Amino acid sequence: MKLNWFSPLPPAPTGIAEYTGTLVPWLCQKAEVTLWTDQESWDRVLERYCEVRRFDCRSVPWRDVNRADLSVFHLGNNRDFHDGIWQVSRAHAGVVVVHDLRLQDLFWGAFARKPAGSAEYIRLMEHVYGADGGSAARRFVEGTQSLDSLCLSYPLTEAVVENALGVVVHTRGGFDLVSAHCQASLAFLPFPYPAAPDSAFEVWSARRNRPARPPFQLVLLGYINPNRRIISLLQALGSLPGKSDFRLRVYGPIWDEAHVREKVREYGLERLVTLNGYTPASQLDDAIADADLAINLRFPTMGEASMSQLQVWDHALPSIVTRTGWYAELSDDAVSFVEIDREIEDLRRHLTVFSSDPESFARLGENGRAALLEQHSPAAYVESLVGFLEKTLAQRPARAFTKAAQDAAEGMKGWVSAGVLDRAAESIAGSIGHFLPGSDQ
Amino acid sequence: MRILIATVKIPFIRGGAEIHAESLETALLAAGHQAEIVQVPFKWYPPERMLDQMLACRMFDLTESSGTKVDLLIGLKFPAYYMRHPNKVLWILHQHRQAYDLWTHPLAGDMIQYPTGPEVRDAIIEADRKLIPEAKAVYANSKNVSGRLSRYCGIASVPLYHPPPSAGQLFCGESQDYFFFPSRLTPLKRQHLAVEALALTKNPVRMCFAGVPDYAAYLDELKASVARLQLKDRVEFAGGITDEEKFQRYAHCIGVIYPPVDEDYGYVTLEGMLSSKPVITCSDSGGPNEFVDVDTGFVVEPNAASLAAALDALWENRERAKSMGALARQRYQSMNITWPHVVRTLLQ
Repeated sequence: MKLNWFSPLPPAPTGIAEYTGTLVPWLCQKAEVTLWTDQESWDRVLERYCEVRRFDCRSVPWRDVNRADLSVFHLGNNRDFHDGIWQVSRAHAGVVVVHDLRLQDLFWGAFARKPAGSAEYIRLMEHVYGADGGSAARRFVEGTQSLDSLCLSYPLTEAVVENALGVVVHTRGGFDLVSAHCQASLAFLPFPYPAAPDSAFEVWSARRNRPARPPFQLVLLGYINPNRRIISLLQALGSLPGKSDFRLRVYGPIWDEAHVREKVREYGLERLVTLNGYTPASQLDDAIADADLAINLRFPTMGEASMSQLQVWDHALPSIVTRTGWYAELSDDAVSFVEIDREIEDLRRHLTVFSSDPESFARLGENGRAALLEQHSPAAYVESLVGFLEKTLAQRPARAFTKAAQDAAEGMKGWVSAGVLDRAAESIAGSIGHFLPGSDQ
Repeated sequence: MRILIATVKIPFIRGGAEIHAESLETALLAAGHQAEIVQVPFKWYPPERMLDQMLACRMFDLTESSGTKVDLLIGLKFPAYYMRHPNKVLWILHQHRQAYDLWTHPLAGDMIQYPTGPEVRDAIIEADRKLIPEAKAVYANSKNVSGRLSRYCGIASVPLYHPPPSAGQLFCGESQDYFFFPSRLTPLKRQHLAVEALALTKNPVRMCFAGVPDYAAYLDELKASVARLQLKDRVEFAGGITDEEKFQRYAHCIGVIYPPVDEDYGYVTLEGMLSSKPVITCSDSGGPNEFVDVDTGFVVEPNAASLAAALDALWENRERAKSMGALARQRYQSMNITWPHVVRTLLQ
């Protein structure tokens, strides 16, 4: 099978580029792949596995693109990495991998830099959600409603899957969300993560105290936005009677470091909390290996799978997560949950239990690593993905005729009554029946 | 019998397919049947327009007309051959080749240049595979078309040849110093290759191109090549000529040159044979290869040097050209390529 793979590529600072970089060696064993990017440069290591080509969404070389059997588009919420890919995907039907389920940032970001972008954004919201969507978009454009508040009711996931032949999601929640409004075939594939080899895992395990001893090392990884709940964590830690038994190390850039440092002081945690800023991947594994417990909270969440959670599991490190989005789908024998409405109370309770019985948490980490090995292997992911792509490809003719029939019905809407339209639709459907795979009509 | 011939029509374009349908209609009428042509307008771009036309063809009811039964439907062209009828016979001129052998063709592959190309291509292939076999019998215009049906769709069909429209009017005259290349001017017919070949001949070979361009830019390119290669005195672009003039040009040429890309059938070959002229064609020219061999012409590699060598051979040896031409006409006459035979076969 020949595939076009439209994705951000390493070293672009996005998890989706990292995902593609991880997957390419496995993918190229199963398919002949061309990577397409609108980045100016990419990690040349990728070219050991397959061809890498640049595209400009304003003048796509369709003759070259169409030599592949199928195109796969990776779409996330960052306009810088995904606007061009979306533009191609709306013209050329392929399989869309939805990495983020709430895509207002992508669309507003993309439209905002165009001359008549606001009007175009409103038109898109109207097209997807009708008059309500148009009104909401106008409120946002006029500054009376925030983009974040639009995300829940108007995620715009519909817009990225509208022209898709097939859709892949990485969460069950995503499956439910997309299946509600998408006619394309849909697959849920657990997010792939290459577990470290046993030899590396043994080295990490040897560094960790078993059972854990005070001071207990807590770790928080990744880009720290407000939804990572660091303020709640500081508040919980600060109010814990045994707080001196804990150390919190934060690895990753912080959206407002001054504000966080102020809170650290406010809760009297100056000697217990270290903010390390951006940490190279090579040092991150050491940091996780030295930790006793990971805190991986999210609220609100855009619903996507968490690479950092899979990395934590790779180390068999126990973790505390929020019961929301993708995290809510995790097994409670692999993570400890914090409920949204009693966040600080649950954090205090978990930390208290941890300090008295750390071994009961160690089991969660071991189960997490087992889940990682069983459900998230890149090889299994690629196997399932290629199977799904083949199935989707076989359905492409039927989809083409269905779309033609829908367009025909759409064209009649303005000048025939509903009853006539129904009969016409029936007649068109009868015609399509002859084209559908497996039909004897 | 009341018989409908289903085909397509590209508005303002008239070519071999239109003549073919009319000739079939005439032959059916001559055999005592009632016959009419049903034409569906055809536009192939953007590719998704073809899906509309395919669906439309499925929705026509041609089982009867004004209360009287239509006894037979003969489908000729994509997508008209999808029309439904309980007694349907297909005589396929060609499938939509841009979905098949011409998909990646550098000159003719237009569908591949559209973002919607792949899904429309798949839809056409799927429809051909499912709907062509619903006919009671499937005939093809030539062995070449039959071979493609089998190769791409796994559909068996019988080649059924028919005479060119002016079969009875073609004759042989005294040859003059030129080769004749009558055809629409279009990259698929490869007039540019013939021009390049002229530049490589050892003799001052002359060539007459007759036909109008599919698009003006190709004629401009050809004329520019002629100028660049300093062939102005040896090339004539006769444009659209009358039938009478065409017969004369055939009659007095040394031979016919016809090197298209994978032609379905190709009246030019047959017209050349009926005019008792040898035909020079290429090994990848498709239909012409079913008729031309070493006794009746040249089948050469598709390059300018090989064509030039064949042109020189006939230019230098007119007697050989004459005897090859005579054999070509005999070959044609031995093949039972007649309309009564076509009608008997389609109606049997």
